[in-house]
Amino acid sequence: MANRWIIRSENEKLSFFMIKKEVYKTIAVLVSLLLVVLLGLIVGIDMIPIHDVINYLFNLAPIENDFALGELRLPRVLSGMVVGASLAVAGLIVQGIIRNPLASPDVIGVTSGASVAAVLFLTYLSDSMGVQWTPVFAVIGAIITFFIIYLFSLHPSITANRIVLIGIGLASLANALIMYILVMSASFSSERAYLWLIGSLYGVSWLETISSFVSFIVLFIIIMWSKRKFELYSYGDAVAMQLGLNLKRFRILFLFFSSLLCGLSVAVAVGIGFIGLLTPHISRRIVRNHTSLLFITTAGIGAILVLLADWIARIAFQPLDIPAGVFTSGIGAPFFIYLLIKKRNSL
Amino acid sequence: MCEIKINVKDITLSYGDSTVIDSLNLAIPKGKITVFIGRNGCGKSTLLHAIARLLKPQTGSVFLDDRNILKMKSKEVAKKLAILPQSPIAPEGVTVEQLVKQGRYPYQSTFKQWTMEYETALNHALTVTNMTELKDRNVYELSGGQRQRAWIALNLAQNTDTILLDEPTTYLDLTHQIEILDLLYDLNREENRTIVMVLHDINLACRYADHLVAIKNQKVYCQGAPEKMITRENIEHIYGLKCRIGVDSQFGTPICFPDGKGRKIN
Repeated sequence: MANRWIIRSENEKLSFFMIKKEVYKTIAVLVSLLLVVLLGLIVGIDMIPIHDVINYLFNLAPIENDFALGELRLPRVLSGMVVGASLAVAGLIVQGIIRNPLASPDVIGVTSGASVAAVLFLTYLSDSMGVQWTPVFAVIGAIITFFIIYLFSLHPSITANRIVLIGIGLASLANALIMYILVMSASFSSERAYLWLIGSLYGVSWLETISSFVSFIVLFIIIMWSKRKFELYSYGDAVAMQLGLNLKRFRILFLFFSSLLCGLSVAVAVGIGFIGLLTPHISRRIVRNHTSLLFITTAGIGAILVLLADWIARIAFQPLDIPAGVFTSGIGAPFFIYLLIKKRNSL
Repeated sequence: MCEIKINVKDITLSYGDSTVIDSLNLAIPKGKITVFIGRNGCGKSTLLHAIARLLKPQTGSVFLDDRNILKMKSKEVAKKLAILPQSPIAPEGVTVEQLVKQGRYPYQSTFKQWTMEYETALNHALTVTNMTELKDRNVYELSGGQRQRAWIALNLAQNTDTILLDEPTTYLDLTHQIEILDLLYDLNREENRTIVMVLHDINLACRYADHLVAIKNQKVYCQGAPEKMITRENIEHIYGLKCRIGVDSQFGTPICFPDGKGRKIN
């Protein structure tokens, strides 16, 4: 058969099925990601020539701009990738579980929940414990919010679409809480929280970068391990159940995964909105019939979108460094409204 | 009396406070076509769902080949019994092949996703349902009848010897209704699969079913071969409607002509 690859080991312990076209498209996305990464490394306030970038990355020769590249651009680009990929995959999962194309971690309030926990920590506990614990609190906040939404979803009168509305309610509640905390706290600690909330990728440390990168890779592999469940679930409760999927266990497991991803991205940069909503709509158009490739493409496109937004934010308004979140929301919010209009029949 | 495939014992089903099925007992014959009939909301679909363990009964249990399905692993049940829910919805953009492949889920594992055996099962399912040429098509581009055949192919890829279907002909025009029922008839007669389904069209039910089961008042009202069971009195009791019973001149199966209003031509 010409349009597919079937890979089988001799004893059939390993066997896979892939559609060539979708493999090529995924590779194209990953190549584009590489190009965008290079763009982010090379083009900045001043240009760093490509051979310098290569020399630095592969440790071939010392270069002139090693501070700008190694301490500023590289961690910024890498964490931008992690933020974009995590949000996008979290969005794909949430849209899949709630079966609603309007859902995403930020729309249903999980990002805000994570932010509340992180702001509480930054304001009251970071002095005694140290700022490096922020991610842990962000993740806890995300998990708690997901759990609240899940509890609501168990009530028979709550349909998938109403979950979005509940989430929007939770999000405004969380934002009100954040405001309250910021207003009530001492100015120096609220400033720290405020800066973090704006969602800039400026000045990300190597420790943050490496730890978030590794966490993402580990999580991604775990998710890929159970991706067949995710695929089957999209065929509806009855079909998935009759084929042997435990729906409740699946939902809890994947909501847990997406809260981890969401907390992870919030920990690096919080205000990058709408990536989780937007990206799955793009990636599902590219890859339709292969779940592993869909996850990879989603992660790739999420990373590309955030990197581009961050790159524009950093280049276009020199010497100002605008937070990347301004741009993602600038594209994302109109798109959300477009979806609301287009999908009016399903709401 | 023939062999029993599924034994429903003393089953009670309810949604919240309203009981839909009340301590019902039923034996479904092996290798036959069994059809549930009854008025709207009489619980025939609910019963079908419970037999496929999609709904947990309040009391009682369902035995498949004398084994309690509630005590079996869900994937193990999925290799023995398949159900096609009413109007299932495919995810956007999937192809027929991708849809049918889902039927292999109970057999797959992380690294064992596409063995020769899976491929044979898939090809067989596509061939029997006459979908091989349409396998690369988007499910949403298909006609209602083709789409229903794709879903039946999914159940066939599952390779179970029992298939349950909840109103498989709803929303289909007459041509496609007959096409689907003929397909199910072939699956039963040629591959000896046990078919259990809910149908609304009583005349078609009489033509295809070996065994009819009428559900009324949360119980089995009556059951048996259509030619014995379909009488004026029974129809009146099941549906609350007076009618006359005739015979299909080609098949010899009963036909029900309901009373009521309408044009009269002399």
